[in-house]
Amino acid sequence: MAYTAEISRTNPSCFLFLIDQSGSMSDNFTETQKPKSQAVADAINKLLQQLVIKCAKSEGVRDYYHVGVIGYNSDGAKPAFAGAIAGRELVPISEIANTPARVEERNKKIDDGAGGLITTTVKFPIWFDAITKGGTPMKEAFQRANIIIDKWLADHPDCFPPVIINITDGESTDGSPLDEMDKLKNKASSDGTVILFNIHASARSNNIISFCGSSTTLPDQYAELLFQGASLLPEFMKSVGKQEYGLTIAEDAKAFVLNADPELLITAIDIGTRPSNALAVR
Amino acid sequence: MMLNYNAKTFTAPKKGNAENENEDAFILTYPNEESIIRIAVSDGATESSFSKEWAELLVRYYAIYNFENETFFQSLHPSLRNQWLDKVNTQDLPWYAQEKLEMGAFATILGASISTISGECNISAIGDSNIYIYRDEKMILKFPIEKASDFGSSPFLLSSVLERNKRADKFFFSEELYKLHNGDLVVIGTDAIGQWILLQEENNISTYQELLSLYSGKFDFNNWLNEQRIENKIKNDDTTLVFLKFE
Repeated sequence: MAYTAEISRTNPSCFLFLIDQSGSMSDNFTETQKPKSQAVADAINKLLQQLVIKCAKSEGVRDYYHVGVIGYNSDGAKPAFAGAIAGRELVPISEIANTPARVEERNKKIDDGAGGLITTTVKFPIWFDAITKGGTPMKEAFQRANIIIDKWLADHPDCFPPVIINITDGESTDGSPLDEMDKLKNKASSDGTVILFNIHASARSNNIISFCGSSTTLPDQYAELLFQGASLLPEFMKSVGKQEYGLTIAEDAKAFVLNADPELLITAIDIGTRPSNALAVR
Repeated sequence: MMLNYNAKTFTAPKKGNAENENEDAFILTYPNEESIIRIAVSDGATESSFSKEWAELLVRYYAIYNFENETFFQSLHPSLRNQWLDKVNTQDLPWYAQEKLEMGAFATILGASISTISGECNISAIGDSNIYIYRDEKMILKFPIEKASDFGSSPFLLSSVLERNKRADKFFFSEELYKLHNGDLVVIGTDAIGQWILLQEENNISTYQELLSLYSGKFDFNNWLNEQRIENKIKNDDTTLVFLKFE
C-alpha cells in the first residue's frame, strides 16, 4: 500500500516548495488589496512554521523532513533561502528552524488555562519576504525540481514520497510546464509516487476552491493548467480533509487549491500520533 | 480473603528512538489503607511536545486521586497544568518550542483501581491505551477499544489545554464493577500492543499463552517485540505492557 512508509530521522521525507516571484505577483488580490507576492510569502512562512512545529519535540527539532525552496523570477529558478542556508537546495528542518532570516514579535490570543483568552507576544519567524521580478520561468522551475527530486530519491529510495508545492499566479512565460509536471508526478520511491500540489494565487478571481474534482468549473486557463498538472489527491489526504477539515472532496479530487489555505497537506502527513483534539481549537 | 497478585511491567521506545525518547509512562501502587491497588498507563502523543512530562503527571495523579467520572478533570486540571508548566516552561525557549508549549501536551490515560479484598475493579480510560482481562485462558474484557480497526493515528487524548478536553463522550468509565478472581490475568497496554492483541484475537489466535510467556519471562520482551516489528506484525511505536496475575 502506498504512502505508509514510516517517516523517521533515519528515513526522512522531503518537501520542495516552488515559489513564483514574477512581476505579475505584485498585483493585488481584489478582496484583500494585498499583493499576491505578500500573500505567497505569508503562506510559505506559515507552511514552514507548521512543518517545524510538527517536528519540534522537547529537546529540539527532529529531522523528519528535508525542505527546499526554489524561487523563480527573471533571474531563473534558484534556491531561495536567505541567511546562513542561502544557496542550498534541501536543508534538514532543524537547520531551517534555527536560521530564519529574522524573528518578529506578534500579538496572539492564547488560552489562559481557565477557559479564557489572554493576549501574549509570540515569536514569529520569517524566512521569506515578498520578491517580484520580471517573468515566470515555471517550466525551468519544474526542470530544476526534477533534478533535485531525482537525487533525493536515489539517496532515499524507501522514503515517504516527496511532496512538491508550487505556489503561483499561473502565468508561465517560458512555455508550458505540463510535461515537466508530469515527469515529476511519475517519479516514485518504493512507497509511492511524488505528490505535486499546485496552489493558485489568482487576483482575477474571488473564488476559493479547495481540492476540487473535474466537474468544478475553473475561472481561467491558468487555473485549468495547474489543475491538470497537479497529482490526484491521495486517499489518506482525502480522509483527513473530510474528517478533520469538514471538506467535501470529490472522488477525482486533485492536489490543487485556488486562493485557499493548503494547511491540510502538512496536517495529513503523520509522523506519529496526532491528537484529534489538537486541531479542533486552533 | 485477600487476593494475592504478582505484577510485571515492560516498556520499550519506538525502534530508531533512544530510551529517553520513550513517551509512555506507567505506575503501579502498593495497596492503600483500603487495600486498593492502582495501575495506570499513559501514552504521550508524538506530535505534541513535552508529552512525556504530561504522561508522567497523569499516571501519578491517577494513583493519588483516581478518576471516577469526567468531573475529575475539571477539578484537577489547574493543578496538573501548573505542575506541567513548572516542569517545561523555561526562559528563552526557541520560537518553535514556545509555540508548541502553547499548543499543549496530549496523552492517553488508562487507569484501573482494584480491591485486593473483594477483587472489584473499576476502570477509567481516555484515548487508545487498552485493558484486557483473561479468565480460564479466555479474554473476558477488552476496554475501551473493542475492535483492532478502531486504533487509528488520531485518537482523542487528554490535553494540558482545558478547552481541548470538552468531549465527555470520549471519556470512558467502566459502568459495572468487574470482579477479579484467583487465576485472572490483567493486561494493560499502549496502542501498538493493544492493537496487536485484538488483531490476533480477531483472527482466532488466542493471545493468552503468548502473553503469559512474556509475563513469566519465558519470552524476552525486547526480543519478542523486535521480532514482531521486523515481521510488521506490530506498529513501530513506544510500547508498554503491564501485567497483573492473581493467584
